[in-house]
Amino acid sequence: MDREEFLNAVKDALVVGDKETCVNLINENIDAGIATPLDILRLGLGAGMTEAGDKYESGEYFVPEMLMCVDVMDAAMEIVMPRIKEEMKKKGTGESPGKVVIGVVEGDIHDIGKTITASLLEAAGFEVFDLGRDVPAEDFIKKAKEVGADVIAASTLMTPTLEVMEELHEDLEEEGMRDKVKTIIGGGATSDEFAEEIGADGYASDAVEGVDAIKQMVEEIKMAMAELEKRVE
Amino acid sequence: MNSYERVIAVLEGKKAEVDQIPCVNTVSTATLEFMQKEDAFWPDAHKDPEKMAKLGAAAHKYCGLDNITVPFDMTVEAEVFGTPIDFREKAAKKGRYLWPGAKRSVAETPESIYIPDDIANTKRVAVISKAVKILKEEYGGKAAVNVFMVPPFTGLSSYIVDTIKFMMAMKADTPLVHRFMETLTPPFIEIANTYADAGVDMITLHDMGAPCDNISPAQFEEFVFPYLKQIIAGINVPVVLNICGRTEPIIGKMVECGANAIAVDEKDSIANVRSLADEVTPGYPIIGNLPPKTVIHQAPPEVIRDKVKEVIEQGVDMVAPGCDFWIQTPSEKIQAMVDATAEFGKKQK
Repeated sequence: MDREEFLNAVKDALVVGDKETCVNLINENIDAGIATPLDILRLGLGAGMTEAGDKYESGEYFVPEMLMCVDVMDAAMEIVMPRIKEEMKKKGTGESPGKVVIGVVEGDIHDIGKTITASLLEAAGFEVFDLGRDVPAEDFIKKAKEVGADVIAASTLMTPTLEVMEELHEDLEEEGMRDKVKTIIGGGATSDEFAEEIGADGYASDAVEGVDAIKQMVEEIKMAMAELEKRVE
Repeated sequence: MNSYERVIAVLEGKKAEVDQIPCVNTVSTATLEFMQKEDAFWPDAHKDPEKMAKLGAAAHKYCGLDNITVPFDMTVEAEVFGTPIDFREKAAKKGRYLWPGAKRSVAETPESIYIPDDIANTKRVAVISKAVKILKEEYGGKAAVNVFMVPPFTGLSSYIVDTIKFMMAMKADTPLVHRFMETLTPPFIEIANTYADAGVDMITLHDMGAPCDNISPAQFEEFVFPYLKQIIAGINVPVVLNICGRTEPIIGKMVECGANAIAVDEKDSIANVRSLADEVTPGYPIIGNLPPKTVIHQAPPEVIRDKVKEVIEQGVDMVAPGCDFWIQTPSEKIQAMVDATAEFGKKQK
């Protein structure tokens, strides 16, 4: 099996949700050097999650199918990530595109969309801090401070919990953090209009859109930083 | 005709006899203003039958909504089946009224789900039955008293079982999903009929976990449809099947479930839902579908009025929000929806 065949096989196994095949493929080949762990992550698993995401977008896949892919992703990451971290340490490079604190707001336990988004973000190389579900506004902020997050991503399916999103933005303002971190909201109960109303930086109607929006945000932060550095010079 | 007669006539398939399209909400009608007016705040109103009845009746009493709905949350059945519930007492003390949720999902297998012997007196089933009796005493024959329930698919996938495990089993272990559904279906029917015995006029099954945003039409047909059909056949009062989210591809199947009406939200147009339902059963009663937040809560009364006119023109049989009232909704907005329904919903005789 050559590099391309191997990466495609990893991708295809993920897309059909075949955990055993995917994990075996990686285990059998990772040390042979056919592809680097980073390539497996990006061109195998990451590409697979993107393809699964496209199928979800187009209505071919639904939540159960996506979750099967996420499950394969999680199992494969356990093999791949330690090796990537090792490599990064050796090289001292391989920076992640950014840090994202993600969670479902307090009062809601519907965390499927959030879980899928977190996996897609990881697949895209982000450092993801997943706070799980039923997360109070103050916990998002605490974690964001602690890790120096670029983006806070908050989701909710249910309408009464939208208040918590509002509270999150008010608290960020109060803490003087509002211009230090970008925010994005998503989930069934949210909308573009609501994001604007509470002053969120972005809104995504699903996981795939969410990842694209977060990539864009981090890009903007980097550009702003570069701009700032130029001026300082 | 009064509110009760109109709603029941539509549900009994006699919509031609109705003089006026009713305006209802088959799920939660609780708002902050109603909590204040009736001194019936969450979480007390979830557990105290007197307060539950007062809060449930408020939209009828103050705004003329044609039905009354209790309870206000989605965790009643999950609690009966052994799931620990967080009633958000802490947030309520800070003046934030959040919906109750499961503290954690407890059931790993169908066998580990707790099925109580005396369901009628377990947890809040008794509270809701008592609230129904109180409501019937005051409003019996005047406004349709409705209990909304969370059917097994949504109950299992959102509260009782770990959501991710349950959803994955739909791909990896389909017999397990069926065993879960088979386990909960008979006791669920028993709960519904406890309310029927207490005198409830109608029951709404709010299967909000089952739209096509979550599962495919094929999965709906396999894992949801047969059980809803069985449940609806087993309930002794008129039933509304309410699924919020994208439902266009499953409207036909929803109608085939055999309820007296279906309720949908704003993700699909009433015109589409009308024509899809008519393909299965011409004239089948449809309830919907004003956006609870962007229109009823936030838009000015003129917009609410236009929207009501639009859904009536597209063939709705009862005007309703697509889902629960947003709890900050001002009463005058609910009034605007009721008034517009009266204005545009007169039937020509």
